[in-house]
Amino acid sequence: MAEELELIPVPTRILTDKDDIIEAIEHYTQGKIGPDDLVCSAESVVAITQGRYVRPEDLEISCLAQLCCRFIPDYGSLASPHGMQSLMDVEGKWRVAFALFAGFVGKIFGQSGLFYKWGGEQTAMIDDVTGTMPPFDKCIVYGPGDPYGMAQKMKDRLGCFGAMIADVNDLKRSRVVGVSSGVKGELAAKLLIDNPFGNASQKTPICIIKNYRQYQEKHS
Amino acid sequence: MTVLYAILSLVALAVVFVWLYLAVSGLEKVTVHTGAAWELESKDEEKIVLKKKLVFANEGKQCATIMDAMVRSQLPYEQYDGIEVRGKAELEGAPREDDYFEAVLIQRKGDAPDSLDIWAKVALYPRKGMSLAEALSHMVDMAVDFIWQETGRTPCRYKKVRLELAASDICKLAGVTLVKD
Repeated sequence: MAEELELIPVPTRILTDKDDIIEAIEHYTQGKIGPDDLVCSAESVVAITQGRYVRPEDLEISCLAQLCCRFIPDYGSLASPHGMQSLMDVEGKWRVAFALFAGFVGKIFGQSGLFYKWGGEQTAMIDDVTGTMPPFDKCIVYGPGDPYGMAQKMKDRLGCFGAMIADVNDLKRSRVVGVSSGVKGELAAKLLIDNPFGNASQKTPICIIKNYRQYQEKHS
Repeated sequence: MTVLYAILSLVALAVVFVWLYLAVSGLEKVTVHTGAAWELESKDEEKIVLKKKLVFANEGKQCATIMDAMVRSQLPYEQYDGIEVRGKAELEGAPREDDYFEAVLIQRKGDAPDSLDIWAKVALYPRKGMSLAEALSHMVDMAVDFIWQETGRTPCRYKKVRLELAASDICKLAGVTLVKD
């Protein structure tokens, strides 16, 4: 009988920049991971353990950031001066301003997504205030650094079939941020569409997809 | 020269467009309604907890965020040292046992939720070996500051409102007779 696919959310304590994400996953998943499994981690938690977050009070808000943020819909993470400034700090303020302008011009000509394409990889990854669980709800959290390298390290250390860092939310969005070699990220991301990590206040940043290897082979 | 005029005209048009866009799209505008009366939440031998509902309404055109909120006592022992006051802010429908205030959004006017109820709570503890009733019977008028951190389209800043708590109201809620000292 074929082994069944199963999603196992793994609760943890709140992880901080004092933690090593791979050691934390190893600790909390002890005895639960097999060689056919895929280990998934929420991108914001990986970023937090890398210290990739900033408090709005620690940013020096430029006039350009205050202007540019006004052109982002108010539900977006870059809609606040802090969100926009945090992006400008890592991607360059003129690059971001140019990408925003290009995105605006592109939309006039029916080409959408140019801002996210040219504004730098963090454009789509930053979570503004309220976007992450306490105590990081008062912080701006960047996307993780070297997500593909991190996923590969997870896989190598945990001895599983693969590892993935994903950006998943309750609005049925599931996006691959980084994945180890041999894993079809898009296929795996679809399995996380119901957000097994839970909402921002829940402490389940790890999810094991049991018997994922067979599932991927079957759907290849 | 014509080309220069054309470029200058385009720049001027762009500036006017941006200015108009910003003016029409507007900002967040959070107003706080403090008209509700103080209520009794709980009372035992060790403490009495009073609360007052503050309504935070976003009357602006953009989403606002309340990043943090706290209640700060303004009763120094120089004024009255028979009572210790501890305050906390608590979002309606999201009670917490810790004093943490989780950042929360207030949508623009017309979108739900465009207002939030936040409770200002104060716990009064008797001091100097007095019972709660005895300590409250000598109470003085006091104030608490409700302080919050707010953002939206403008950089985050702290704001505060002062809430008055009359000794007569405290005693009435506690069922204690106020003594004239």
